[in-house]
Amino acid sequence: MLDEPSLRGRPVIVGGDGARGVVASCTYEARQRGVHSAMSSIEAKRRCPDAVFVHGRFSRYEEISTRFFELLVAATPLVEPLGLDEAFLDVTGSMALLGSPEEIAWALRERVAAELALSCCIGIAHNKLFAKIASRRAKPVATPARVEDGHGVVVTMPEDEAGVLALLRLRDLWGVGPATAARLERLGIGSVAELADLDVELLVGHLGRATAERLTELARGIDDRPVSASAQTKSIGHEETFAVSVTARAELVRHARRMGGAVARGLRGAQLRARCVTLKVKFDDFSICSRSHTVDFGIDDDEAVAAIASLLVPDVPERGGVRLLGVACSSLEAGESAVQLAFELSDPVEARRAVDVAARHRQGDLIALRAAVDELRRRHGPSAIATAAELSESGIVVEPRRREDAWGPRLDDDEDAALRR
Amino acid sequence: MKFRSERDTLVEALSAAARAVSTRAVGATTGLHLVVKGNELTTTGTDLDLTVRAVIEVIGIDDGESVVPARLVADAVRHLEPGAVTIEASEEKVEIAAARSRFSLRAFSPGDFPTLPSAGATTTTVPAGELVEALRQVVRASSSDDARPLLTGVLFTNEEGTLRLVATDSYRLALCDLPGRSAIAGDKDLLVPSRALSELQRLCGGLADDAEVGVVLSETEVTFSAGSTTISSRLIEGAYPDYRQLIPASYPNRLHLGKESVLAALRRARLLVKDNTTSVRLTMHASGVDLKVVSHDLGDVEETVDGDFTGEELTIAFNPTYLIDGVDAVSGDEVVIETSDSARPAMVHGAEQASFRYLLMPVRVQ
Repeated sequence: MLDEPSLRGRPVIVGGDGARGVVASCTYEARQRGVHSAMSSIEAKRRCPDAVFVHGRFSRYEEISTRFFELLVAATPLVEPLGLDEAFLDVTGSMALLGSPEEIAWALRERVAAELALSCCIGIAHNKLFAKIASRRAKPVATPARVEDGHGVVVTMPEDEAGVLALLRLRDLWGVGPATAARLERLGIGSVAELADLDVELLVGHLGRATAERLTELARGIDDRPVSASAQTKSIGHEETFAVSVTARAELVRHARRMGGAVARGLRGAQLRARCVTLKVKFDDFSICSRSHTVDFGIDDDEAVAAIASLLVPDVPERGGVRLLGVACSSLEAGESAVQLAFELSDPVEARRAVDVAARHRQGDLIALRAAVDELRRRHGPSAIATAAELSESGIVVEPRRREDAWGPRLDDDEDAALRR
Repeated sequence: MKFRSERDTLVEALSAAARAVSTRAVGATTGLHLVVKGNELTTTGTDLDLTVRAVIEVIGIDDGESVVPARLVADAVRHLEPGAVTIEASEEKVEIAAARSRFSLRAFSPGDFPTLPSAGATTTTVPAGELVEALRQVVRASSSDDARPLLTGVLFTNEEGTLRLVATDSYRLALCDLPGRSAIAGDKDLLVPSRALSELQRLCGGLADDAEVGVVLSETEVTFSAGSTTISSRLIEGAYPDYRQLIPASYPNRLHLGKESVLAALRRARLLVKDNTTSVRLTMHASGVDLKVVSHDLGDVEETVDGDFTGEELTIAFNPTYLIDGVDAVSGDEVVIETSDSARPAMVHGAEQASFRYLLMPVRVQ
């Protein structure tokens, strides 16, 4: 909308338009026709055949998101991001300086509109649960007839909380997904009010103590989770859904290597190193399998991560075509990179340790090579230099594909025609 | 089987043998085999790889044998009042009595205890003092990683007619020559599990200065005898990695330091090391060396140790524990650290004696 004013007022869907695409987001015009995010693109096209599909431009989102968060941090340092475009703010400490929460909210909304030309909705309450609900009520409402403007800012005062709770469905509560909702319904709990009245001990046996206590408290409107600004990164990863399922192991190895390299660059960008590499595979039957390998030193070298990721491919069971592959790095550590070098000894070496040895060599000995490649890419672009695994029929693919194809692979013309028929 | 013994002598024999018994064992292998013959008690403990046999003099009352729960009996005797202890065993139970205490414990059937090969005739002897010092210097560099079985042992090899001990865990390598002592098995290399050698070190601690350790070899086993105790161990099979190619011919840089001052400084610096990733950085310059540890979480520590340095000024990082191990292993008051660059192994040795060398791979810091 911001960059393409011609799309304003039209049903626009951001997402993959291929057979395996999903809707990442859509305009309220598309919502009027029953499209919602996470819906398959095929279903979205059926409901709204004249929708304009646009591919996500991740780098542009990141750019706007960075500027958006700069505005938020100006209001309070206690900003807890919920994705790229949403956050919890604790403005308790800002009230003396910037006024009441409602004044801060309206000022923030104006600044976002003025500086980013974007609209946003803000919910205000004394805890996260009611703030999130209030923000939903602040949004525009799409009905088949028309799109009604939202309130923009909605405040829930403590005395109104009971009324708000009464209107909630179970699924609106944090942590209640389809599975938990179904389980609660089997127990005869169909509403938030029923859950709130229940003795928590009766639920413990079914949901476990932690979940049972959290849910009954939420149902009673009790939520004392703090807004924490420093949520630490636990893992860095990347996954892709293939347009056509991959069956050849050699090709899986090639993808694993390429993604491993991309994740390693992500680690370097975040100035972190990982000790654990996990390979995740989703098969055509939607079953998921993951395998991981841990080394005793932190790695952020492309080849080190790639070698470990590809080592894990043979561990993946044979279960038919692979529709999704992902590589994730965890056990992250900050600080300087330190690798204990080792002698090259001639005692018998199994494959796993051979990979550790290679990773140790790459991480420890080839520091200059890594720096040189990073510098080349910084100066001449990411595809200035590539490894063989990053070469594909369509040229050099160095950047993670997520930037374009996060919500499913692109559609080629024949496929598109077939789907619209 | 029945005998009387003084508590402390008995505890020593029982605990030495019990140390060979595996904590994971079941049945009779969790036991100690006790045999009384005349006035001689033989106690044997084994995990089938390692066997410790201690022989002591007792007041024999009835000859016989019994297999008793190793740790329990050793602990029970240790906790008795000082003085005489009487042990009497039948097929099913063992009774331990001293002063007014009396244990009656279930025993195992002697028939269930594994049959162990008896050691042959002594092949050679090594002065205990020399062997203990060499083991002190070398065993520390062996690996505890069972995935690399060859590295969990210490190599006894023939270096131009002299006995040489070598160990490495692939990060550091320690080697020690025993000049004037010939190799144990001629040109044949022996690879002895370091666990057995740690026990041998412990046992030799109580020996007289001029004592000798006897060595008996068979195809698959080596037996060391120290005083009245013997340690038999299975040998590790396989060809030890070629360690000679790892040792550089010469080093351009040489740092000469007082052993105690650098050890104390390294131990202070190590206080900031809470995991195995933090390294100690050594900057070597004409007047000595600057040590520095930077911990991402805790802060940093710096210290300068005076010394003599010849060569190009350089900074090199090490795992502080490995470096302390190397410096501590050196005998004598002065230590030399030789280096070539920050990615190649450094050599730690004493200033006077050349028989011990400790090669250490650096930590590569970015």
